[in-house]
This record gives sequence, C-alpha cells and structure tokens, in this order.
Amino acid sequence: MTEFDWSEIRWPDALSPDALRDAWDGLAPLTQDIALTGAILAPAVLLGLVLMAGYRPGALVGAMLWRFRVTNAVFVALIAVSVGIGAGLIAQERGLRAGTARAADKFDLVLAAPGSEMTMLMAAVYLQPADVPLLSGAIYAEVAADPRVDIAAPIAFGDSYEGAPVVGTTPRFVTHLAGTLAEGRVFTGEAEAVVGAHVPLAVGDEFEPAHGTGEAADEHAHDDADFHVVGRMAPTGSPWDRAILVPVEAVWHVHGLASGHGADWNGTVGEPFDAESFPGTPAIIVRAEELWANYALRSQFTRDDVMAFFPGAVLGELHRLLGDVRQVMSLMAIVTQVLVAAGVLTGLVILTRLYAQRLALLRALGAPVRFVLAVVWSYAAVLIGLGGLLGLGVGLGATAVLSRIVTAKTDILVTATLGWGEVHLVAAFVSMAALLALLPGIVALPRNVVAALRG
Amino acid sequence: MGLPLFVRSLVVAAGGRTLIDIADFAAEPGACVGIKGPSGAGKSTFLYALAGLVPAGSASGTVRWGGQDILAMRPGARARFRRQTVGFVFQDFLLFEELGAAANASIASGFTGGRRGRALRVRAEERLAALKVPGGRRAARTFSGGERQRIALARALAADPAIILADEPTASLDAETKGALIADLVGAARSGGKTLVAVSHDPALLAAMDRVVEIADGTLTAPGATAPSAARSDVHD
Ligand SMILES: Nc1ncnc2c1ncn2[C@@H]1O[C@H](COP(=O)(O)OP(=O)(O)OP(=O)(O)O)[C@@H](O)[C@H]1O
Ligand SMILES: [Mg+2]
Repeated sequence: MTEFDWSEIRWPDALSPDALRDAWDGLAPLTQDIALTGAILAPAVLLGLVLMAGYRPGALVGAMLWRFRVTNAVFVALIAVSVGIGAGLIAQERGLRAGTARAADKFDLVLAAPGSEMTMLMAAVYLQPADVPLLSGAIYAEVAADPRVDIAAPIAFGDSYEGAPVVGTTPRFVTHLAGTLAEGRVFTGEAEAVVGAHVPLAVGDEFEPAHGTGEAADEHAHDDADFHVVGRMAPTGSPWDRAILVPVEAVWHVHGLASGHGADWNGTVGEPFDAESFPGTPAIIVRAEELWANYALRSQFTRDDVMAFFPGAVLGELHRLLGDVRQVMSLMAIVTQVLVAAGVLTGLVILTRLYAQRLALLRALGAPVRFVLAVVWSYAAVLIGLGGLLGLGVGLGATAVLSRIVTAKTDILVTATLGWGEVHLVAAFVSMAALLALLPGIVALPRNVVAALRG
Repeated sequence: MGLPLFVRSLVVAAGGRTLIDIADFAAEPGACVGIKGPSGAGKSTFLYALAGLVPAGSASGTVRWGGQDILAMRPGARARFRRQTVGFVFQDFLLFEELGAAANASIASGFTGGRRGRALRVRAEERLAALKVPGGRRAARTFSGGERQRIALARALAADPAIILADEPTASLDAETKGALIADLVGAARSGGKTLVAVSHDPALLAAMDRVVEIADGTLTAPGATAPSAARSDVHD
C-alpha cells in the first residue's frame, strides 16, 4: 500500500487552506467572534437537532422544569454563579492589567537611588508608602540640563493629609500628569496646592499636612505649614486622583531644608533649580520627546549612584509574572465549572430517576427511545443554557463590582468588561455540559418498563 | 377495524417465579372481553404481555395480534405497535400531573409527527369533550379521580387504536361516574369496532362485555376461556 500524500490533493481554489484563512481574516472581528461562538456551540446544537428532529418534547420538558422547579432554580443558580465568577475574575484580571498600565502611562522614565525597581514603581507611580533614599541635586542638575530631556520633575512623597498622600513636585509635572485642570489653576507659590479629582477638599480650602503617612503620620510636625487649594485635577484613573500636589519647595521648607533655589530666589516655584541648594528628592520623573532618547537616558543614569527604569517595562514584567497566575486562574475557573457541571449532572441523574415512572409511561405509550432522550436532554440543556446565560449576567455584575472594589482600594481605575474571550469560555462550558447532558437521559432510560410503571 | 388476538403458551416469569402461564386464549376482532380474578392473580401482567411491555427475556410463547407476534418483535417495533395500535388505560391513571387535560390526552403527539400527530391532537380534544372533562389549563393533579380516569381514557383513545387494553378502569369511582365511564369505554370500543380487553372486578363493567374469563394464580380457570373457533383462525386482513 502506498502512503497517502496530502500535498497531492488539489483543493478547489476557493476551498484551499490559504483561501479559507484569507476569507476568515477578511471578516470583521465581531463577525469572527460571533462565528466562533456559533462554532463552539455547534456540537450541542447539532446533538439537540438530531435528538429532537420530528418531535415536540416541549410540553414534557415544561412539566419536568415545573415539577422540579426549586431544585432546577438551585442548579441554574449554581451554574450561573460558577460561570459568572470564573468569567468575571478573568475579565477583572485583564482590566487590572489595562488599568495599571494606563496609570503608569505618564511615567516614561523614573530615576531613583539604586534599589528595588518594584518598590520605586509602587512608591513613585502608585504612591504606595515606602522609605526610600534621596537623589542628590547633582544628579537632578545633570538630567535637567540634558538637551534630550523635555521634563525632569522631582517627586517628593512622604507627607499626608487625612490619608491622602501629599506629593511635592513642579507646576510642569502637574500639567503633564493631568493636562488642563478641571478647576482653578496650578500652584505658583509655596503655600498653594492642587488636589486630585477625588480628594475631599475644594478649591479655596485650607489644610495642614502631617509628616509621614497612615498610622504613623505625625499631625503636628509641620505646625506652621498651611496650604490653600488653588486647583483641582481632572480624573486620571490613577492613585494620583487621591493625592494632593504641592510645590516641592514647600516640602523641603517644612522639613527645614534648603529651598532648591539660589539666594536671589523670588519665590516663584518650579524649575529651574539650583544644584548647590537642591536638598534631594526620592525620585525624578523624566520625559524625553524622542523614544531613542529615553533608552539613552536609561543607560546613562544606570550606575552606582542612580538607577533608571521604565515603569512600563517593570509593569510588563509584573504582568508576565501574573500571566502564570492568570493561567492558574483560568484553569481553576474551568475546573470549578467542570466540578459544578459534574455536580449538576449528577443531580440531574437523580432527579431524572425520580421521573423514571413517567419516562417508563412514555415508553409504554409507544414513545421511541430517542424521544425519551430528547425530553431529558432538552430539560438538562435548558438548565445549562439558562445557567450559562445568567452566568454571563453574573459575570458582568461581578466584573462591575470587582472593578469598583479594586478601584476604590487602589485608586487605579479598572474598567473591566466581559469580552468575547469570556463569552467563548462560557459557550465552551455550555456546549460541553450540553453534550454530557445526554448521560442523565441514558441513565434514566427505563430498562424494564413494567417494573418502572409499578413504581 | 379491530384486530384478532391469539395467545398460546404465554409464560411470564419474574424474580424466579412464574407470574402467568396462559395456555390458550383468543379474541375475535372487535370483541369485548372481560378479565376477572383475585388480587395478585396476574391480570395486569397479562395485559402488559398483550401490549408487549414485559421484557423480552422474561416472556415466552405467542401473543399474536392479527399477523404480528408481538413477543417476537424488536423493542422499536413493539413501541411503534403500541403507539399506533394499542390504547392502554393503566391501573392507576398514570397521568403527567403537571400537564393539563388536553396535553395529557394528546401526549403521544409529541412523538407522532405530521398528519397523524395533528389528527391525534384533534381526536384527543374531541374525546375530552365527549367525556365531559372540564376544559381550561388546569394541571391534571387538580382533577377529581373520575375526571382523571376519563382523561386517561381519552389518552388511550386519542390515536384511534384498534386495540384497547384497560386495567381496572372503574376502580375508585362512585356508581354514577362508574356507569358513565363504562358507557364511554364500551361505546368507544363498539362504535369503533375495536378489540377491548378489560380487567375488572366491577360487575357492571363485566356485564357489558361479550364474555368474561377468570385468571387465578396466573392461569385461566374458566372453561369458557377459549373463543369461538372462527376467531382462532389465523385469517386476518
Ligand atoms: N417483578 C416482579 N417480581 C416478582 N413478582 C412480581 C413482579 N411483578 C409482579 N409480581 C407479582 O406477580 C403477581 C401478579 O401481579 P399482577 O399485578 O399481574 O396482579 P393483578 O392480578 O393485576 O393484581 P391486582 O388485582 O391487585 O392488580 C403478583 O403476586 C405480583 O406480586
Ligand atoms: Mg393489577
């Protein structure tokens, strides 16, 4: 016997693999997603069609649904919750990735004293409290003077006001971070502040920050330092929405440090700073117009006395790490759903057994085996399909609630929604479970009609 | 219209004992035969055997309706025979409690397609009306015993079967309802020329039959068990 050579096959041009692939790629994404959903559901639909061809099992399916309505509702709820939480978690994880990336968008390059990039990322970009060493004025002067650099803003964190981080920086950085202010203007003098979108202070309010953050904050450390709010930023979807931005000079001042400017300073805050009287800053946010310049700056400032990193890259690494977690999560979601499906199918076997006398009656009345299977299968498929549909609803709800919780806890705006990926996942679950739903019918088929009739 | 019945050496066993052993029994087409006997004698088992409902392995002998030996048929063919030719009234109604009267009476339309299915639904409605079963969308479980028995009868007649097998159709009915149901059952059989085999203790029902045989301990006891020789010939159409 000669080996069959597939390459010898002459496909009709329109059906060649390449032509099919081109045709598929040519479809709109929405069409592709809908088609894929249909393809995933196809085996179950096909099974249903084969089972039901020529029959009208509706009335009996309705009878079974009604007869076991409480248990049925529990089954549907179980399926919906397991499917919904699985889909919701996966969507949430994707939303969290997008949200953290968006929150780091404005932070092209961060300079800090050598140490953990992750700690600096959390402190400088996400404003998580951290004790970090300072960068010297010499380094600030070096990067600020670099012709490739567009913005070099010192970021001085560590103070707080009623839980809101108070961050010292420059007017230029405020504009860079939030664009046009929602209200008021950027600070120009040392006693002025701009608040994030969610800070419970209004333009015109006065406040007195505390040294430190959280429990350890010392309310009376800066007794003479009163600020008044002159502007409010538009929402940025980042922890900066809960931050209060003040001139970095003011932070230095309340800590008894130099002003950052020479002796002839006229009191106007912001660049340029004087290297000699620059007291130090935990981090410098750097932005260069040219992409290549960012890379050059990163290597230039990666050395013994300073480190430079792209928050996006560190975040990417973190996400890659979390990618494994995501796979574990997906797997767990699937395993959970399989377990729930197995439990529900087992329950259906038991319920269907309770209905065995009626199924035997159908056989006694002359119903074909396929009809009895069609009744039991349709009944199970309705529960599974309904559970899947409701599961999408639960998923949407869970996603919205989780997003809100994560946003409230982290101030990172997470706008997760169910995507087609989740729809496909749910469709795969429904399809799979619907195929397995043939089992309760087969198990419940009356072997001995008379015995079953006698009950 | 009706089919002749011919039974020979019918033995049904279960649980290691012989439930019935019917040497010889016959009914001419359109005959109405009553079966009586003490409880546990095997009357229901006999009716199940006539309908081809006993498992193939537990029955031996011949049960021939017209030219077809139902015991020799494969399960699929038996089912088809039942749905097209047999109307069975079960000993305790056996309705679908959640469904209405019409849905119960026309239950077989779910697996009877096309024109036959439509005719079945129409006939079920007609039977329910003729039997004066209250209409509406009430579930079967809300009907009285007499009404339920009549729904069961309407279901048995819906496919216009050539054979009616009725297992104690008047049990647990009061005298008046009983009389009406007997009239309906026997009337349907006689007017349709159907072969009727009815198990009953009820003298009124038995009196309406052409003849009555008795089963005791699984065997026919009355010598009149055998039908006139004309019916025993294997001639049929
Ligand atoms: N699967 C079985 N295994 C063993 N015995 C059985 C089985 N099925 C029925 N029997 C017995 O067979 C006998 C006949 O049962 P059947 O139901 O035919 O009686 P019957 O004449 O209809 O009684 P009744 O008037 O009470 O309805 C009974 O003794 C019953 O217990
Ligand atoms: Mg009986």
